[in-house]
Parts: sequence; C-alpha cells; structure tokens
Amino acid sequence: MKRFLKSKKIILILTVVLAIYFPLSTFAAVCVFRFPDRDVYKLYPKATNYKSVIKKVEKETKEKCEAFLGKPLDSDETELTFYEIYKGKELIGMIHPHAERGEYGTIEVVWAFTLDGKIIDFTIQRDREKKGKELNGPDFRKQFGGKDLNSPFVLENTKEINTKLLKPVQEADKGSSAIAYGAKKTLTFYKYLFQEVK
Amino acid sequence: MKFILFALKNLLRNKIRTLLTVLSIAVSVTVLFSLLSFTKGYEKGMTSELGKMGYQIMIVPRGCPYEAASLALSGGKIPNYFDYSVLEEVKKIPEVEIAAPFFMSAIIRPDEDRTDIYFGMDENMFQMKKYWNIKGSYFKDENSLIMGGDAAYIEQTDEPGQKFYVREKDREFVVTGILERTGTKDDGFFFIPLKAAQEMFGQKDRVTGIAIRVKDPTLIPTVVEQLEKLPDSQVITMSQLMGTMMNLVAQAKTLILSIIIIAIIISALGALNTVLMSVFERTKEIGVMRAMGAGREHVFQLVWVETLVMALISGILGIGIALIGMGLVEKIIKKLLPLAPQGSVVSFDPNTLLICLGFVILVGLVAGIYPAYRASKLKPIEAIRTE
Amino acid sequence: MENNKHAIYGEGLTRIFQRGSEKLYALRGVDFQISPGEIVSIVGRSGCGKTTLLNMVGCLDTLSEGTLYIGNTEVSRLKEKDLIKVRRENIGFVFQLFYLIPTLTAYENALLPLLFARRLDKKEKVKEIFQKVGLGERLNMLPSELDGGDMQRIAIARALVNEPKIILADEPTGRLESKSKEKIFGLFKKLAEDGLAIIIATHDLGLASRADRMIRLKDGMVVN
Repeated sequence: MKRFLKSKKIILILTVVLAIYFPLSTFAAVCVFRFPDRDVYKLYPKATNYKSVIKKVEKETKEKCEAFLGKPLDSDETELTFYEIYKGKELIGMIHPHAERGEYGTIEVVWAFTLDGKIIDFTIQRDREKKGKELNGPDFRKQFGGKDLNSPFVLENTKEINTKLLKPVQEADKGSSAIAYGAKKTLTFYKYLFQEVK
Repeated sequence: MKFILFALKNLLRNKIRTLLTVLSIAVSVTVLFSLLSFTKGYEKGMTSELGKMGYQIMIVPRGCPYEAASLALSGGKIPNYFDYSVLEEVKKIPEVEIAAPFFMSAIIRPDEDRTDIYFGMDENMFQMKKYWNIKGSYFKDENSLIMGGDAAYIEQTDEPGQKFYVREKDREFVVTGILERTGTKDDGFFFIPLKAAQEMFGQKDRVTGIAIRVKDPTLIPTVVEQLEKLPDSQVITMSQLMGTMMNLVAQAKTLILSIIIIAIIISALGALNTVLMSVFERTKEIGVMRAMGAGREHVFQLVWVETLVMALISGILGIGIALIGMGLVEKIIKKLLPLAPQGSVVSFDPNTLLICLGFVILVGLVAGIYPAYRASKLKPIEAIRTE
Repeated sequence: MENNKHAIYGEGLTRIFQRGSEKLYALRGVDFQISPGEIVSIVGRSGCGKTTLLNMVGCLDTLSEGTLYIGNTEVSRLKEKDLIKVRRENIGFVFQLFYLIPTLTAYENALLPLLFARRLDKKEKVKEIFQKVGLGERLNMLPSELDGGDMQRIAIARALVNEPKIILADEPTGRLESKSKEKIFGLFKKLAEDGLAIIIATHDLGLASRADRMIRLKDGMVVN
C-alpha cells in the first residue's frame, strides 16, 4: 500500500511537471504548411500529388522583393517552402503558406496560385481574429481569384488593403489588410524566386 | 627513433584493419562521452530551471493522478481546483514568505495544430518571477496579457498595446508586456490576471495550485509538514520534483551505460583480436628481433604500446567526434525527451573528458596484455623456423 | 677450460627433439670451432642439421648435450636471460629472407638492435656501417624500394651495429642473383679481414667451397 502511494505521488509529480513542461507546437513566423494532406486537395480538388520546393532568399532577391513591396522582409524570411501541385504528371499550380500579423495575432494563410502567378484561392490554417470565420469565408475569398501583381490590391508602399479593388470584411480591416498584404508578398516571392529565375 | 614511433608504424601496416578497430572503439567512446556530458548538462539545466521558478514548494489538489496524467498529456489541464480558503490557511503558516495562487488551463485546437496554455497569476507570483525581463509592463487591468517570448514570436507580437483574442471564450486582451526569452517553459505561456483566468474558464475563486516561497530554505520541511495537514492537497517540493526527474534520468543512464560498457568490451575484444592477428603475422619478425637481442620485455612492451596507442587514438577521435556532435546530441535528446529543460542539456566538462580518456587507456592496457604476452612467449628459434 | 683462441668452441654438440615417444637427433655429438677472422661454411641437405647447429651456436636454442663456449663464456647451461646478453654482445644474424621490418626505413631497421640494447647513443655508427656494407646514402629508403642484394646489405648492417664478434648467416645468398651473391660474399670476406668469425650455412657448394673451411653435415653428424 505504501509503495502504491509512493507511485501515485510520482505520477502526480510527473503530471505537474508535464503540465509545466508541456511541449509547445512548432513556431515560426516563416509559416509551415500544417495540413498539406487536407488543404492541398481542398484548394486543388483535381490534384493527385504534391512536391515541396525549398528556395533560399539570396541577398539580391531580398533587395528586389523589398524594393517591390516597399517594406522590409521579416528577419526569418531567409528560406521559403513552396509546393508544386500535380495532377498525374502535369504541374497544375503552386501553394505557399504565409503568416502575417492580423489584429489579434498571427494569421497563417495557405495561398494557391497558378503557374503564371494568378491567385486561385486561399485557406486560413491558423488565426486569432474575431472575424476569423468571415475572413476565411467565400465572400471575402472569391475576390482574390484571378488577381496578380499587375493589380494594385494593396496600396503602394503600405500593408493596407486597396478598398477600391477588394472589399474588406466588416469590422476586420486589419485582418483583411494582413491577408491582402500576404497575397502580395507571396506573389512577389514567387515572381523573384521562380518566374524571373532561369 | 622511439618505441612509440615503431609501434605506430606497425599499426599503419594494415591501415584498414587498424582503422576499423579504432573506429569501433571511437564510437563507443563517443557514446560514453556524450552520455556523461548529457547527464551533467541535464542536471545543470534542471537545477537552473527549478532555481528560476522562484519558489520551493507547490501545493495542488489531491485528485486521481492517473486521470490528471492523461489530461496533462493531452492538454496540460489539472482537473481539480482549490478554493481560496486553502490559500488563507497557507498564508497563516508563519514561515511562508509568499503564497502565490495560480490558475492554469489550456485550450486545445487540433484543427489549428496548437495548444495555448493560459497562466492566471497575481502580484505574488510576479514577485517570484524576478528573473523576467519585460518589454512593457505588468498587468494594468483585468484585460491585460503578458506573452512569453516564444508565444510573442509566433503571434508576431512585438509591441505592447497590440491586441489578443481568445475565440473560444470570446475574450479580448491587450498585451501589456512581452517577455524576453527565459529558457524556461514560461516562454510559451500566455499570462493573464488570476481573476480573468478564473472567469474565462468558469472557475470563480478557485485556483489550480499555490506556489510557496519559504523565508529560509532550511524551513522547507517544517512548512511541508504543516501543509500536509491541509485537506485534499498534495505537497510537492521542487527538490522532490528534481529528484524524481533525476531518478528517471539516472535509471535511463544506468541502462545506457551498461549497453555502452558492453559495446566497449566488444570493441576491446576487437582490438585484442587485431593486435593478436598482427602478432601472428609478425611471428618471424618477432623471432628476428629476439635474435637481434630483443628481450621478452621488449617484445611485450612493443605489442602493448601498440594496443595502447590504438586505444588512445580511438579515445581522442571518439571524444573529438562527441565534441563536434554535441549540438546534434542536444537536438536528438530534446526531440526524444519532452521534459528536457530549455537551456543546454549537454555540457562539456573537463572531468568527463579525463574519465573517458582514462577509461579508454585502461581498456587499451587490458586488451593489450594477452597479445603482448603471447608475443613475448614466442621462442626466437621457433618463430624463425615457421616456414 | 679456457677458450682464448676460438670465437666459438663447441664439443659434442647434441640436440634432441622429442616427437611423441620418439627421439629425433637433429645434432649428434658435433665438434665445432671457429677462430676470429675465419669463414666457415656448413653444407648439407635440408634437414641435415645445418640450421640447428647455427641456432645452437647463435644461442637461439639450448643444447641437449655438449659444451659450448662463445668467446670465454660457457653458454651451454645459461638461462634465457643471460643468453640474450651473450647474443646481443657477440652475435649478428643474417637470414635468407632478410626479415626486415617493412614499415621502417633502411636506417631504422639497422637501428633496431641498438634500441633493444638501449644504446641509441651509438647511432652515429650506423652511417659508418652503411658505408662499409656499400649502402652509402640509402638510409631513408624503405626495404620495398630496394633490390634483394641491398636488402641483404641492410640485414648485414643490422647484424653489425652491435659490434659482434661472430656473424651467423643462414643461406645469406639463397634469394640473390649471382652478381649480388658475389658482392655479398665479398662483403663477408672483408668483415673476416676485420677479425670477425663468419659462419655460413648454405646449399650452394660453389659458395661454400670459397670459405676457409667447409663442414659437411649429414643426419646431424659431421662427415668428411
């Protein structure tokens, strides 16, 4: 009985330790693709396969991106992961997950876009926004379809959404802007890491 | 020319065989060195982390520990709560310097692949967290929030005043402080006022536990004795906690150490075999050396030195690999060990180095005796005659 | 008995090997003497006792019966430890297969006996000896880089570094072509002129007949 009590105590202690030391999930401002097997097929219903491509952001590319965005890159944006989406052997599009701070915390958006850099759709994998549901809803999302870098859907040299081109979610201007800026940044990365590279 | 050089040249005769033998010993030494360094570092890490906690005793409600363990594993919730009456009792104990109630709970969002841990606290706890470096300030009101360093990094929150929202509880907070990384699990927590936490999780006037700082560490046993009289509570001292952890580590260490010892014995036998084979191959040479005036002791010495040199090279190589691989070992251990402290768990210690080197020399000396004896027993005449 | 005259004096040298219950006489009652400056060859078929005799007088093996002096020391009853000393101070060996240590240079090979005798202070002598045996400056070459004749020269140099009084050579030219053979024998002659006693065991009658004296062995006994 005594021994039992002792083992009980040890378990209790471990419990507390576990509670204190509970391992946290991975963190990164450079965003990881958390549920590829769910979201790839959500964004590309015809996809059969995908492949990750890791790109290093060299100094020159960084300068080009920053010049284009009018804003500095985050300090940890040195290596970015893109996903090539395949239907059989045919490459049908790209995916890139990207994180921006919204109003209440980080919003992690998974962007789907065509090979020539036009947005297809997105899905939010993490957020803390009050209007998270609406931001991830079809009304807001469908406005991004077909947009590319030729369209100034973010005001130049800011992180603000261009309300003439995209209608922000009500009472979620900041969240909407974060998503729009994320789109611009994603396409910018794609441009300088893929399209303008031989 | 020295004996040792002669021995070294002999080892180079069959480079591959020597290399393989050296590698096998080196690998054992690497593992031995890494393990010893790890245990040292782990102890250090745990001590410093527990030291940083700022309190020596914690009391938590008595509950079914099994259930608690399973809940903790899946979300860090401790299911039972005290009410404030217990806190009042604790405060009555004269040896208690500070009694800090806290409320800890977690929100799990599997569809977002994350678990948030909310830690409700008051000024008393804040006083125990003297090691905190805060950008910003302590709570200003019931809607204040202090973010751990890692949590702030994940939420891309770098300025006090930014907002934070808990969707499940529809509760908005304003970040008043951001912690610099402390190297403890504090880094991942969201700290909120005790009342806010109690409200948010619907446990008004209840606490998950009470952290206690005693006026003088020598009074801990007295305080523990009095705390144990309180109904429905479990007393945990930090040294106990540390002891339990270290016991677990010690058990694992014993197991691994015995495996390493076996590995070293096997590699020592390998070394013995290598040297013995080279002795047999050199039977005639040894005979000739004897004819040239080498005594038995010379032959013995030569073969023994060969084994020793081999062991020594292996040892240095093994320790070298271990030193280079320290970072890797650290990573692996942290992956395997969810309870690892956040600081460095592998620590370099000159004593460990000496122990490993001494051990490998001993192994070399022992493994060399038999081949050296066999070689010295060769009679010159017979050695030369074998043809 | 005194032995002032002879480098080696042996009487009734007998060596019996025990094979099961059978006694094999490798040598039976051989009398053998050699003086300083003399070259003696030992001939006979394989198994006649040549090598055994060489091992006996080289203190590598112990006698079953008989008396043996190396210089003034009676060695027939000496213990292993003392035999090593006698060997170190008096006798240099040369073998058919040279038995050089392949990882050591020519110089280091020749140096080994000094290492064992703890007399590395005399290592300057090695160069002198290399000149004498005709190796000249080939000090730092490995045995594998040299031909048979040169390898045997290294072995002879090695036999000479301890300044022995006697050289025992077991088929020293067995593995050499005739030109080298000639040179090595010439070297032995030169050493004999310096006062060394040289014993050569060989199959080669041509070579043996050029010694000062030839001993023919058959079944462990001297025949004339």
